[in-house]
Amino acid sequence: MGFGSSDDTTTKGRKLLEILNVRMVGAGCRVLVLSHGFGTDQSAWNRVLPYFLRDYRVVLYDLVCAGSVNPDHFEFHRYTTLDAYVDDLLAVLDALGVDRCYFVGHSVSAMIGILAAIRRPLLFLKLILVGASPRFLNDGDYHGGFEREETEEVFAAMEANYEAWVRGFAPLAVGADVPAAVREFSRTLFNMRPDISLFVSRTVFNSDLRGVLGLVQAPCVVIQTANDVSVPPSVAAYLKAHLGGRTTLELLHDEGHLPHLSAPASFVHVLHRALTTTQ
Amino acid sequence: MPTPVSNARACLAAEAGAALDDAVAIARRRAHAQTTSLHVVYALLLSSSPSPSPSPAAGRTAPGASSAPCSILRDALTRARSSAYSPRLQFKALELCFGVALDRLPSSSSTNRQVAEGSGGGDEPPVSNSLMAAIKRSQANQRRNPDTFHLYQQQQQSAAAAGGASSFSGVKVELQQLVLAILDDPVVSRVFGDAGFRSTDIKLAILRPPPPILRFPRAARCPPLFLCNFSAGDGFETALSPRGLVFPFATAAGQLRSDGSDENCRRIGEILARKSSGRNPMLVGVGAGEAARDFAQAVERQNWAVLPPELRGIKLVSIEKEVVELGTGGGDQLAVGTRLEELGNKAESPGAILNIGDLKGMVEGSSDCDEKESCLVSELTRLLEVYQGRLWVMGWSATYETYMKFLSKHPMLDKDWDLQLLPITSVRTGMGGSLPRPPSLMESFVPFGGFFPTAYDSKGMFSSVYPSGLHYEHCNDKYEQEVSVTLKGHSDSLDDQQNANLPFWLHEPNTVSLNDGFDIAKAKDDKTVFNANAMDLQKKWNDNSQCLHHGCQTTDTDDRPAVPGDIEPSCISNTERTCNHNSENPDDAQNQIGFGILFPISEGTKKITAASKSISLPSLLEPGDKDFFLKLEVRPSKSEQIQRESFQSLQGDDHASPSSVTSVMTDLVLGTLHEPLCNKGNPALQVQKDHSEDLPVCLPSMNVNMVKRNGPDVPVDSFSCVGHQGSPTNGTPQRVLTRSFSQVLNGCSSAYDKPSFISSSTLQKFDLSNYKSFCSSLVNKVGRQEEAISAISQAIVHCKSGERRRGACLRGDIWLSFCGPDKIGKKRVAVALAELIYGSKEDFVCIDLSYQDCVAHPKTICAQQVVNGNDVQFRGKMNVDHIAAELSQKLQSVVFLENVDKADFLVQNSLSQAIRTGKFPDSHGREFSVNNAIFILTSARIQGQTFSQTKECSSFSEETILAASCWQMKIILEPSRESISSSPRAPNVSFASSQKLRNNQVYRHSVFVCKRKLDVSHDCRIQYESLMSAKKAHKTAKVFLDLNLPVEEVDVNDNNYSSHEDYSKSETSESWMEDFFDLVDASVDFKPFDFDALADNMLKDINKIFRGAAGPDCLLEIDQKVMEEILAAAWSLEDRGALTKWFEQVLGRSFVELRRRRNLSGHSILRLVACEDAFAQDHAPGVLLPSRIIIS
Repeated sequence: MGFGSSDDTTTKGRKLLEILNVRMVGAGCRVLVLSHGFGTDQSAWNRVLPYFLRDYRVVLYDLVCAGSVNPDHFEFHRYTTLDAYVDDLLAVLDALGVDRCYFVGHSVSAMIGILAAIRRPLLFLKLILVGASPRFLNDGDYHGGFEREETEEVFAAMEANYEAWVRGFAPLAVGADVPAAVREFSRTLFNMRPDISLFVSRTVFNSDLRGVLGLVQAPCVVIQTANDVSVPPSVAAYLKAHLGGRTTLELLHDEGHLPHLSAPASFVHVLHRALTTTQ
Repeated sequence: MPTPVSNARACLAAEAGAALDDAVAIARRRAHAQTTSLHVVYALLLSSSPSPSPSPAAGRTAPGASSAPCSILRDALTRARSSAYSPRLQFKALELCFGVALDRLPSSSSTNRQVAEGSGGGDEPPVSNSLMAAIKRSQANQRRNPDTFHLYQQQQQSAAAAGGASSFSGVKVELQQLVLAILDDPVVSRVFGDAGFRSTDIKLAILRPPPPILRFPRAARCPPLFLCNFSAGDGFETALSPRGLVFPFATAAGQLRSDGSDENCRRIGEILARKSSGRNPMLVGVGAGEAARDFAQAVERQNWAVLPPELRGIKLVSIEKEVVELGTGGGDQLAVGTRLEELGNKAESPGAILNIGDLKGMVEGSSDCDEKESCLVSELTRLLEVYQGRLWVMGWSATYETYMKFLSKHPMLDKDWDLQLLPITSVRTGMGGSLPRPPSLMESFVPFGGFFPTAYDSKGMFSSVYPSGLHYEHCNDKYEQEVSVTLKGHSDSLDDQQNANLPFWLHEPNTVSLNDGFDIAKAKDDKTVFNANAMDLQKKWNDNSQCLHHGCQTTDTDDRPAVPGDIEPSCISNTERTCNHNSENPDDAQNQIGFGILFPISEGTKKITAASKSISLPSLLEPGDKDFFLKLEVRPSKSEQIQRESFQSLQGDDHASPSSVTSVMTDLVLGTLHEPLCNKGNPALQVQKDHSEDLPVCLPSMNVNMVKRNGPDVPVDSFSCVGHQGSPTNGTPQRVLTRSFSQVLNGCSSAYDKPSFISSSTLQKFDLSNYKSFCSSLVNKVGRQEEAISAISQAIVHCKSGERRRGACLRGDIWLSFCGPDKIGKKRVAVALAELIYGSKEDFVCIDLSYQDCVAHPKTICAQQVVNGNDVQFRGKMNVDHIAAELSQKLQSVVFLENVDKADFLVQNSLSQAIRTGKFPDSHGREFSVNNAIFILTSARIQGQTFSQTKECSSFSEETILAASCWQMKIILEPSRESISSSPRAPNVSFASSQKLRNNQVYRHSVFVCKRKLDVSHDCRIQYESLMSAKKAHKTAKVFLDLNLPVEEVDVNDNNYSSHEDYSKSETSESWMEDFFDLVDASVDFKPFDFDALADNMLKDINKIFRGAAGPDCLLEIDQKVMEEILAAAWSLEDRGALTKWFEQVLGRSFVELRRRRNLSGHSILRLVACEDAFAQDHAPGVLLPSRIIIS
C-alpha cells in the first residue's frame, strides 16, 4: 500500500487523512496538534479538547497503531522505527495545509514530535511533551526506568495473555485512583491488536533519542507528573538539559502516565499555560 | 483503502451481515462513495424504528429474526438516553442527526462508481476504512472473548492443518460486537453526541444486562475438548500459550521483529539518491554507528533490495579505521592518502561512498593531529568537488554534541560537504525472540493480577451483579422492616390495603435499579456499598421523618397572618388563567375540591400530632382519603417511568455510585408526600400535558405530574405542607383552603407550561418574606459580617418575593457574589443560607475552582474541611462536570463556588449560560436546571478591595492565616533576664514575630504592641515577604526533591510562569468576570476579619491558663507561627469549644508539666515556638492543632 513520505502527492495525503481518522475542529486561528500516545487513540483528548476549541484549530489523528485504525494498514516492515510515524504525522499536516503548529504529544507521540521537529524545524512553533522519554531503558548513568530484562518480561506477559496484561498494566499506567480513566485506557489499549501492540512497544523500547535531542530547535515544554510508572523524574530533567530548543519543565502534582485522562482539569491548566507562555 | 463489501460481509455473522446489507443499501440509495459506520447505525435505527418507515431491508430473512437483533441498539438507546426529553423526540432527533451527517458525506462521482463496478463489486459502495477497522476490532474482541476463545483456537488449528486461508476468517462477528466497535468510531460518537447521547453510555447499556454467555463462572468455561491436547507434564498455561495461539495472525508472526536496520538503510539510500541538496548523510543518534555498519554491510553484500534502484552497484570505501587512528595520535597520512587514491579509481558510475566513520575520532584528537585532520577534510572537500555526483561521503556520530563540535571546527562544512542530518533513533537489540526468554515471566506478572483480582476480572464484573441482589434484598427487607415499624409505631389505624400498596411501590425502584442501575466497576465492593446503602436508606428515612417534623415546627413558630396575604393576589390571577383553560370550572367548584381534600388531612395530622410527636410517611396517608388511594393506583403505572428516567439522568452523570442512585430513587417515591424531595423529580412535559386536561377535577393525577416536574415552583409540597399548616391552626380552614388552592393552581399553570409563581416559594420552610427575622437568624448563625448579611438577606428576600425575569421566563435561581476578604466567613454565611432556606447543611455544595490551591496546601488548618477533589467520585473529573453532578443530585441547594476568578474556560462558559438560561451544561452538553439553586460566587481578588489597601494593616494577614499549617509546637525555657523582670506590670504573655526573634530581641507585650503600631507597614511587608519566601521554599523543596536541578534556575522559571500566567489569564478571565458579575443579582462586600481582636482574645485566654499553671511571675512568649496556627483554628472553627479545650488540656497541661520538671524560677521566660520542619502527627480532638507540645 505504502502511503509514504512527506513529499508524496495529495491523493495519498487525503487517503492518509481518512485512514488515520484525522479531524480538524475548533474556531481559532492557531493550529494545535494533539497526538495520542501508546495504548490510546484520539479519544484520549476528549476531556481536554473543549478547552481549546475557542482559541485553536485542533488537529486530531490516530497513530497507525491505534485500535481505531484498520489494522491492515499497519505494515510491519514499515513501522519498524519511529521515522515511519513521523512520516505519517508530517504527511497529515501537509495534507491539511498546516504550515505552523503547536504540537502536544503524549508518550510515544512525544518522541514522534521530537523527530518531526528535527526534520521540519519551521513547522513546529512549540512542542509540548507529556510523559516523554528519549529512552526507556537504563544505560550507564542514564536512568530510563526500565532494565532490558524487565521489558522482556513485559513483552512476554503481553504475548502470553494480552487481556491479563492490559488489566494489570492499565491501572499502573493511570497511576492515580481514577476508575473512569483506568476504564478508558483499558478500553483503548484493549482495542489494539495484541501483535501490533507488542510490535509497537518493541519499537518504542528500541528507540533511543538521546543523541538527537540537541537537534530540536523549537521551544519545548516537558510536562511531567508526580509519579509516572514509565518516566522517572530524572528523565524530565534529562530532557530539559539536552533538548536543543529553549525548554521548560512543568510539574503536575497529579500522578500517573496519563494526566489528560486522570487529571484533565490540572492538565488543561498546565497545557494552557504551556501554550500561551512566550519565552 | 476501501474494502469490497463481500470481503467485509465475510467477516460477519448473519445478523450483522444483514445490518451491513442494509447499510450498503442506504449508501447506494444516497449515492455515497463508501459505506461507513454512519450508514450502519442509520440502518439499525431505521430498521428498528417502530414507526412504519420504509424499511431498507433488501433481502432480509424472516421479520421475526430481524427484529430481535435490531432492537439491540434501540434498547440500549432507550436506556442510555437522557431523561430531559421525551423518547420519541430524542429518537427523532437522533435519526435527524444521522440523516444530516449522512447528507454531508460526499457522494460518489460517476468515475468512482465505474471503477467500483469494474472491480466486480457491483454497484455496492465499498466499506470504508473506519468501518472496516471497526469490524476488525470487533472480530478481535470476539476472538479474545474468553468464552469463545477455545472454539476459535480449534477452528484455527483445523484450518491451519487443512492449509486453509487466513486463520481468523472463521470468526464471524456478532451484531452486538459490531455495534460496540462501531460506537467507538469517533464519527459515530460525535453524531450521537449531537443528539444528546454518549457512546459510552450506549455501550454500557448494550453490555447490560450481560450477555448470557458471561453469566457462567470462569471455572465452568474451560471445555474438556482441549484436555486431550496437552501432555501431563505441561501446565495448562503452556499448552495455551505457544505463540501461534495468542497471535493467530499468519502475516504477523514472521514479522514480529521490530528491527529497524532495513528501514535505516532505506533512509540512508533515500538521501544518497537525492537529486537536490543534502545528498551526503550524516547519521546522528545512539544507533547511528550500528546503522552505518548495517548500511556498509548491505552494500558489501550487494543487498540492493533495500536501496533505491539508481544506487545499484554502488561501492563503499571506508576510512573509518584510519580516522580513528588519527584521533588516537597514531596513524599515517600516507594510509589515508592511498585510500583516497583508491577511492578516486572507484568513483565511476554509479559512484562510491566514502565512509569516514565516527566523528568522535576527528573531534577529540590531540592538537598535533588537528593538522592531519584538517588536511583530510580539505582533501575530501576537494574530492567531493572533483567527483561531483559520483562520490558521496557519510559519517556518523552517537551524539549531537560531537557533531556540533565537528562543525565548529570546520565551519561551513555542512554546506561544503552538502551534509544531510539523519537522526537514527532505533537501537538494534536482537530481541525479536532471539534472546532466551526468562523462565519466570509469568510469575513476574502474577502480582499485578493479584493486585486487581476482582475489579478487572471480566467475569467478576458481570456475575457479581447477581449476588448483589441478595444485598439489595437485604436492604429492601430493612427498608420494609422500618416501614412496618413506623407503621406500627405511629398509625395503628392504617388499613391493610395501604399496607399492601406501600411496599409494592417502595419495592419497585429497587428492582429497577437492580437490573439497570448498576455500575460495573462498583460491583467489586458490593458488600460495603450495599451495607452503606442500607445505612443510607435508613438515614434518609430517618431524615425524612425528622424533616417532616422539623418542618412542622418551623411553620408552627413562623406562622404569620401576613403570609396568606402575600399569596392571595397571585392566587387570584392564577385562577383567572386557569379558568380560561378550564372554562367549565367556576371558582367555587375548585374551592370545594380543595376543601374536600384538605380538611380530612388537617384532621388527620392533628390526630397524629396528638398521638406522637413525629410525623411519618404512612401517617400522612392515614386519613384514608379516597383521593389518596386513587393516587396510589395511579402511581404504579407511572412510577416505573419516573424511576427509569430519573435513573437515566443519574446514570448519565458518569457512574454515580449505586448508593446515591438508590437513595434518590427512594426519594422520588417518597416525594409525592414530602416536599423537598419532590422537586427532585424529572420533567416529562409530554405526559404532563396529557394529564393537565383533567387536572382540576383529578387532583391525584396532577400530583403525579408535579412529581415529575422540575419547575421552580414548590407546588409539590401541597400535602405535607398543608398538613403542617393545618394542624396548629385547625380553627381556620379558610387559610388552609386558600393555600392548597394556590398550589393546585400553580400545578395547573405549570402543567400548561406557564411561568409558575415565585410567590409559591414563600411556602417553603423558612418564611422568606420576612426580611428581619431572616436576617437576624442568619446573623445568629454566622456571628459576624452583619452588614454583608443584611445585604444578602435583602437580596434574597427581594429575589424570592418579587417576580424576576431573566430573558423571557421567570426564574427561581439566585446569583450572589461575595467579594472581599474573610474566606471562612463567606463560607459560613453560605452554609447558614443552605440551612435556613433548604433545611439542612447537606444542601450545600462547595467547590473550589482553583484546584491548585487545594493541592498546594493540603495540610493548612483552614482547609481542613475542604473536600473538593478528594472525593473518589469526582477524581479525574473536570470542575464543570463536578458542578453538574452536584446540581443533578441536589436540585435545591446553595452552590458555593470559591475562587471564581480562577475558573477554567468551560466553567466560565457553563456559568454564563446558566445565569442566562437557567440551565447549566456539563462538558458533554447535557443541561441541568439550576432553577432552585442559589449560586454564590466568591473571589478574593475582585473589586480591588484586598484589605491591605483598604484598611490599616493588621499584624496578621488573611493569607498568612490561611497558609498556617499544623506544625508541631515546642516550649523552650529561657533563663530569666533582668530587663523583663524589672517591669512589674507587664502581662505574662506576649507574642513575637519570628523576624524579631532572629535579632535576639525580646519584647515585652506592651513594648511589642507599641512597636507594632508604630511601623505597621514595615512589619507587614516583612511578614508578607517571609510568607512568600516560605511558600517558594516549600514549593521547590517539594517539587524538586528528586530532580537534582539547580533551584535558582527553576525559581526563575516559576516566576516567569506565574507572571505570564497572570497576564494571559487576566486577559480572558477578567473580562469574563466583569461581564458575569454584571449579571449577578447582588454583589456583597465582606469586611476583613479582625484578627487582632481575635488574637487579643486568644492571648487573654492563654494568659489566664498560663497564670494558673505557671504562676504569676513567668513570662510566656508566643512565636508568630504558633499564633497563626491558633488564629487559624479559632477562625475556621464554628464552635470554639474545641479550642478552649485545647488550651486547657494541651497547653495548660504542658505548662504544668514544665513546671513539674523544671524548677521555674521567679522570672523564667517560656517561649512557645513552632517547629517548622515537622507537621504534628496527632491532632487534638475537634481542632487541627497538635495533640501534645514538646517540652525541652
